[in-house]
Amino acid sequence: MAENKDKVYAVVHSGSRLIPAGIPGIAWNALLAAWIAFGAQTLLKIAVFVLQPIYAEEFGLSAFVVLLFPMLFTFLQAPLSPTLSHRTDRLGGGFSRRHMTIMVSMLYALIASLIAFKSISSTAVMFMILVIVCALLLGPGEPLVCAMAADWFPMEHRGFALGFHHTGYPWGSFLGGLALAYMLSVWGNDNWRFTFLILSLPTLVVAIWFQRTITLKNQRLLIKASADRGFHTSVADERLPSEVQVKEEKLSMGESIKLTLGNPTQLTMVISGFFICGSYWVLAGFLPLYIYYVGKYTAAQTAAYAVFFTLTGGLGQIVWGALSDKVGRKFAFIVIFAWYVVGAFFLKEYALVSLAALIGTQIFLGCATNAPYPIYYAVVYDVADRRIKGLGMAFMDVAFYAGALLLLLTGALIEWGGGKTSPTGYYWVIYMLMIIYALNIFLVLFFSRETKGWFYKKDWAVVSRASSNIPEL
Amino acid sequence: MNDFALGWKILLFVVELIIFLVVAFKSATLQGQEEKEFLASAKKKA
Repeated sequence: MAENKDKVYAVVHSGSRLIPAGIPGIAWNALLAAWIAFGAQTLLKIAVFVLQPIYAEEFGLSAFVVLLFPMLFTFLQAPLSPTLSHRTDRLGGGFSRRHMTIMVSMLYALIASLIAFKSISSTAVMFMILVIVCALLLGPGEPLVCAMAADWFPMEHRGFALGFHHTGYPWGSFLGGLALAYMLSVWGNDNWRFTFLILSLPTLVVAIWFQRTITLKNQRLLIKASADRGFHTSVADERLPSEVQVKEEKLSMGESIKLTLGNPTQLTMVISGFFICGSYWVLAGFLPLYIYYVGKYTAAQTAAYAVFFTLTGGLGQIVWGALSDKVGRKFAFIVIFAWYVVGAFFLKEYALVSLAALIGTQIFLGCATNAPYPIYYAVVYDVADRRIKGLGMAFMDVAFYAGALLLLLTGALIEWGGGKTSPTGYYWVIYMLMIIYALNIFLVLFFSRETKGWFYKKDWAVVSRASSNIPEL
Repeated sequence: MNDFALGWKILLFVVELIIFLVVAFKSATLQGQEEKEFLASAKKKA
């Protein structure tokens, strides 16, 4: 076990600082590329959500039907994620994730651009078909760039790297919301389609960046530079218990799935991720409708005011991602979930009292809305061996995307509460969110093992470390 | 059915398409070389 303590497991390597210092430039370069890529993906994702009031009016859709758009868009990001991500695991990740990432990124950007042409997206059905095709290609992009962030940054600061990387989502959402508000105010609501083409353009930059940065040559430079500075990289140094007794063999898809879902900690992350991320889609889906129909703001104002929670959403990811390296992943989850329950209560009671209250409640709630996601990925990366790291990330994403099914319940609650102009259904949705977060505190506490931090040895889990692929230190 | 800024849309779409083709081709060529190199070096180590 002495060797394990020195070198083998990620879990024994916790950075001594919250903000990393002395990291090789190539690691930062790759992390920034993955970060911008994630932000660029988000620009398109947020458009489907915040433009709901406009296309609901144009196509004459009810609250339930309009919420089917973000629901299907999100849910259908799942099907191709495991297969395409797992293909990039076969050479141990790293440089081998580049080509797939470029292909899916550029293809979804091109499909999204087609929405801009009115002759192609003139009906609700055609618009939905384009949104669905876009979602199928957009889905694998997320686990690929997340795995890239974890592959290329020293494992000592994995929580920080994934937390920083994941700010691409909320801050991309925020920028996307502001950009949409600006474009709608300049071009008018009737020209909402053009925004999809404009928001797909940053993906071009990312594709060129990946093509130049994520290479085998740079991977070798990274390994050498990291070792020179006393850091460890996942692509060169990490060995988990499930890898120690085996050669560098490839696993079939079936074996990989068995290894992934047979790990109780990983399975708990998947189940919890389904409900928690589903709650995020619920918030992102119902908030524009709530602000537009109940708060009586304009469509452009709604596009801007519905994304304020993402400001602190990004900060929460960096802070909690980095803190989870020190205090532990599970402890971080529990504090975040409890915070959300309080924030959701404030949202229900005060959000529509005034504009300041709308922004203030979102700022408070935002500290907990996005923070869990990098920690889910970090736990999975902590316990999944290198043959299935990409697949592990993809399973998290499948759970996250499948969580969009909660939007069906959201639409139904709004309809049962009196339709999209009545506040009652929206309040029921907020109560649903509070219950989900409260229950997840117990789910994570009892059914997953701590992988780092203060409570590594004093854990309340009912599942064993061995079954979770975590070493006994 | 008038399409707002149709000329700009076509231009931007064509630029996107060209960049996609160039980057995808370069990346595919590099991927092939890198995989061979990576496998050869892994074999050498073994």
